[in-house]
Amino acid sequence: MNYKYLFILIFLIGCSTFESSKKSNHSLSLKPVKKNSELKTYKRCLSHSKVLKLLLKRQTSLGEYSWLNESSSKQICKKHAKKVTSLMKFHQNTVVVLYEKNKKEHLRNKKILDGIKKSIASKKRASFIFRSVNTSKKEIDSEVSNIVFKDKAALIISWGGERFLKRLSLWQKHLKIPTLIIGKSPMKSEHQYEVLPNKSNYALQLLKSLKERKIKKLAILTPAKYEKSPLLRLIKDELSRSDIEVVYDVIYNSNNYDSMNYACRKIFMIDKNLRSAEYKKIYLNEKEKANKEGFKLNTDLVFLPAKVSYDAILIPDNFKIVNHFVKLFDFYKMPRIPLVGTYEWRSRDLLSSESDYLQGAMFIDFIGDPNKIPLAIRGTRDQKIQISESLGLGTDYHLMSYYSARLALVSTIDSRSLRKNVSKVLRSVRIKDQFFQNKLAFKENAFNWPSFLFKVDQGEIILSEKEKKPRSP
Amino acid sequence: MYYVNKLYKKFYYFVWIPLSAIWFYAALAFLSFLLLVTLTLSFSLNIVFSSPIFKAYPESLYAIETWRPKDNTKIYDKDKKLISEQFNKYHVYLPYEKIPQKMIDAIVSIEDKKFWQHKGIDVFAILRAFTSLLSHPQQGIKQGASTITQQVIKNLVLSNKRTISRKIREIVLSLYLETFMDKKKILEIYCNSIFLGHGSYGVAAAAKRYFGKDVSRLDYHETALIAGLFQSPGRYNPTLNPKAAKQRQLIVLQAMVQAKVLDRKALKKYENMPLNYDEYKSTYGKIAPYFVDYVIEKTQEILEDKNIDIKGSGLQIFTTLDSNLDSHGSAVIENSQDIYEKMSRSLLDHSQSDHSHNVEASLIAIDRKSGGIVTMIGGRDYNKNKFNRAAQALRAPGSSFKTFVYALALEKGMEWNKQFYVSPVTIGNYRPKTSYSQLFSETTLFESFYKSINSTAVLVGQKIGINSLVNFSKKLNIKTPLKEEAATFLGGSEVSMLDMARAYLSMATNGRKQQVHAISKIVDRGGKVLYEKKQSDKKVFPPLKEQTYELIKEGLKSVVRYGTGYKARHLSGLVAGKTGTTDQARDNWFCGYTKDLIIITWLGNDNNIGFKGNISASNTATPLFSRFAKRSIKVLNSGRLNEPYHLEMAKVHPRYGIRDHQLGVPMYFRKGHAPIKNESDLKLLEEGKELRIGMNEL
Repeated sequence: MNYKYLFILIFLIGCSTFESSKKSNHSLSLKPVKKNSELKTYKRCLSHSKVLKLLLKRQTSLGEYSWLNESSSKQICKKHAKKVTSLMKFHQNTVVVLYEKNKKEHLRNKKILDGIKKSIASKKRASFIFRSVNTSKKEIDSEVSNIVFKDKAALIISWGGERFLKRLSLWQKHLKIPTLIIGKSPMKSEHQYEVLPNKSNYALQLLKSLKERKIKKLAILTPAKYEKSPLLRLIKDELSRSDIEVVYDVIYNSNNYDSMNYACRKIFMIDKNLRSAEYKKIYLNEKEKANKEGFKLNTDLVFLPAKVSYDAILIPDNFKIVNHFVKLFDFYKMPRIPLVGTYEWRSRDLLSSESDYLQGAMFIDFIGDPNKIPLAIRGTRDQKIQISESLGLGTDYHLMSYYSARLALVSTIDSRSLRKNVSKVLRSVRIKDQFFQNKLAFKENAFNWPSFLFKVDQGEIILSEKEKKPRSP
Repeated sequence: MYYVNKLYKKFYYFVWIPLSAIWFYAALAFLSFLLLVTLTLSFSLNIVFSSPIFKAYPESLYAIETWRPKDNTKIYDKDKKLISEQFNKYHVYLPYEKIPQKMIDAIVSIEDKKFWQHKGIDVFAILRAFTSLLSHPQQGIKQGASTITQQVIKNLVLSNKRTISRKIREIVLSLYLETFMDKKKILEIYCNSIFLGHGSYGVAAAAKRYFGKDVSRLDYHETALIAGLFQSPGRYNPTLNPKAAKQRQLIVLQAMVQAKVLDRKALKKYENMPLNYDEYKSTYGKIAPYFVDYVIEKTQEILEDKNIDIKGSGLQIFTTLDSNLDSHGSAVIENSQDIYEKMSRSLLDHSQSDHSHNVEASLIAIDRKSGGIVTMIGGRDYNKNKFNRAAQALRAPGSSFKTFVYALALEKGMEWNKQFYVSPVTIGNYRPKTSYSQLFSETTLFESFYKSINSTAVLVGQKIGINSLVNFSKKLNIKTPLKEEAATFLGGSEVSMLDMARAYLSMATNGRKQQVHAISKIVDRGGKVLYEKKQSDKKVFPPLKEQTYELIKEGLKSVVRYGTGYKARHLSGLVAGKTGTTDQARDNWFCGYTKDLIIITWLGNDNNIGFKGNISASNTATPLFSRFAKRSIKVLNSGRLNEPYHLEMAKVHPRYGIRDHQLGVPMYFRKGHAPIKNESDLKLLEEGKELRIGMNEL
């Protein structure tokens, strides 16, 4: 409440200052100010007023800002510079949740909204305004106009499709309203903060885990659908920078059994031409055996055994594909070598194939112990959630939205109604919970989401957490 | 007195003594002569009687003394209806008392008028024949002089050689035979043992063969014809030489008049009476021929120790055959041309000469309650090929064998909703094929059973172990030894259809040890029961638990309801079973059951040639099964199969094993074992829902 009054007071002082400056400007118009700072402010005002004028055009019902339409930007900056600055600089402690209405993404939207609501459920001071838009530019612009003129938002939490986010980024670039994008942002900017798992942390954790397992050579089975995945690219970049050699990187189609089979044959060097002498020997052995037992040899069943020249296989695909791959490994009699995976391996069904090849496998996930997930998201206090229990898409988005909302709250409250303070808070805030364990929330506008190593051991998925060193007496 | 004494002395010395000496020497000489003659005679007789001509002797008559009337073995179906007569030679035994007087009169009149008077031979007839021989030695003995007794001797002891030595032996033996054997018995032997043409031995057999009726129903003109056959059954065979037969019949009728058996009036009547020959309708090879062969084989096994001529001992074999169902089965096999033609077109090797019969089919049905074989059709055409595929062929049962693998897995605690990934599998160097369309999918034990997915069966088999399976198969009464190798999990080890029938009977009857059998009783000619199939009262311990039987039965129902047995879907709830197709569809099986029957069908090629295209048990053996099952259900008024009693049902997703009210199928579980979870990550993926934020979104 105090902040509100303070804000009104500041606003009134600001208005009177603006009016007096208007008068003085007017009087000074004969004698223009030449000071650098004033010039800078003037120029800034000019650009702001242009943006605001443009934004106001998208919204017809905002009569109180008619002064923006009455004159040119120059005149506005001469007459209403303070108003313009105030609009741009101050906020009313509101957080606007702006998202794209999309039937396809209905589930995701629901999860995110659910996550936000869960995180602010007990926070009475939170002033969250929820706005949804279609992908039409007009509607997006109109809602941005509302955010600026009506809501005077301290921060925007947003997510949606690429077109939507691009349009929003365009406005956001000029308006400089701190925005937390849940997910990947198509256009990076200083005031945009991506709230999503941290790729670098993830890639480094993977690299570290490989090194710990003393893996020097690696084969990668890349699903075509992730060929251009930024995360996978980053992992491969990190690998190329490290001393781990990628012996094979074979692309396969996850929806096609033949393609998977081909990928296996490729990395196992099952090729009659490549290993002709070996094949001939096996063929003759099988033929002799067939002759002895008195049946006709089926050459389709003469197999070269898998030959591996690497220490591990990375399969950045989901648990289902992994389970089918292990069956193929078994079919080709691949020697037991560690399998390495990604967070998509995390499912209660990972071990349903009961394959020995998964023994000793590992994967990296950006969600660790599910019991360390904030209670608001976890939703259960008494029941312990198993590591292997499937987290589901909901958990990812729940966490992203939960932290977005929490960060929005903290930064808004701590910003003292100044938008630039919101950004400052965001850059310096630490998340003090079991999940983040007092880590900085953002590293260079990227959410500093940690990654965790999981291992498969004795038919169970185990979180590999370093034990805390006992305190010295 | 003196003179008297003197005279006496003179007489004594000069008359009596010399005379006495003469008489003495004469007597001596006579006696010496007699001795000489006796010795000579005995010596000569010894030589004569020790010659082969006089090797006649009681031991030669052993064959007659011990003569047992031959009779056909009769095979009856379960309703005691005659289905087959088995014989080496066609005999129909008739004791003397049952030989009609008409027949006796006819035979005696033409063959041996003095039969009732002579002592084995007719001297005048012999002399007549002897004179004829002397006058025309080059023609040999032409004049018939043999009495019925002689003919019996000739046919049963001697040969047909026309030699003097044989004739002498015949005479001697005839005389000897009549010393100890009753004339009636001799006539009985004669009437039952003499070949009368057309494959028949004896008057009753001839009556059946020529007139198609019982001998008691013959009239004089017919008995005369049969009596005429004794002289030369070939020459007077009415079917081959009707004119000669008629002439012979007339001769017999006239002989009967001469013998005063018939009067002239009757002669006229019978001379003109038409002879209505009725073609002999042999049941042999007509009704259930494969089954009959199997019954004979089994009878031989049963009576192995009794040293009985199975086909000629007049046995009465009561079987389990249901003639009605058998005729339905035969009709199904005969009328399934559509299947054979489709298969024939798809045969991989068309070089076989008999193109129309390159596809063979076989069917066997067993009564669930008794284990009795109700029908056994071992092939499409018995006349073309007598090989009984139902009992003799050893073929790989393919997936129909998986029933036992899955049953054992269920017994060991596996549940129907256990999940599997369908991929190619390998055990050692064994890499069984899995249908391409099934690869790269997920499934449950239940779905993989009704869809017959090989890779799952191998994985399940690996878990239970080949030794367990082999031991289990013995408990299921599979008598053919199984190969102890991984291929056996997929039915790669050859078995017979009977093996499969026994095993499925065990599964269908919850392990009740009912033995599959074809014979219920064997009775000899005298009415003595030689064998009787008895239901075992011994308490048996079924190899599986009650719940396991119910579980596997539900699996078998699902094969028809959702799986490879879809061609029998119209009988869903009434039938259950499993298809089995081996590599290149060489063997196509359907092993299943109704409420009353176990039915096994098989289709394939005798030379083990495969089929291309989409030939499989689903579109061959299954329709054959369903066609027969449908008829049998109607005939036996079979109801729906029992619902499980010890299990609980849950609607479970067939691929992901979770509870699913929308997409789930009814799956059965041991009480308390039904799945609780209703979410599956795999299902979510299938529905296109991402489980985690996509890698492209990061």
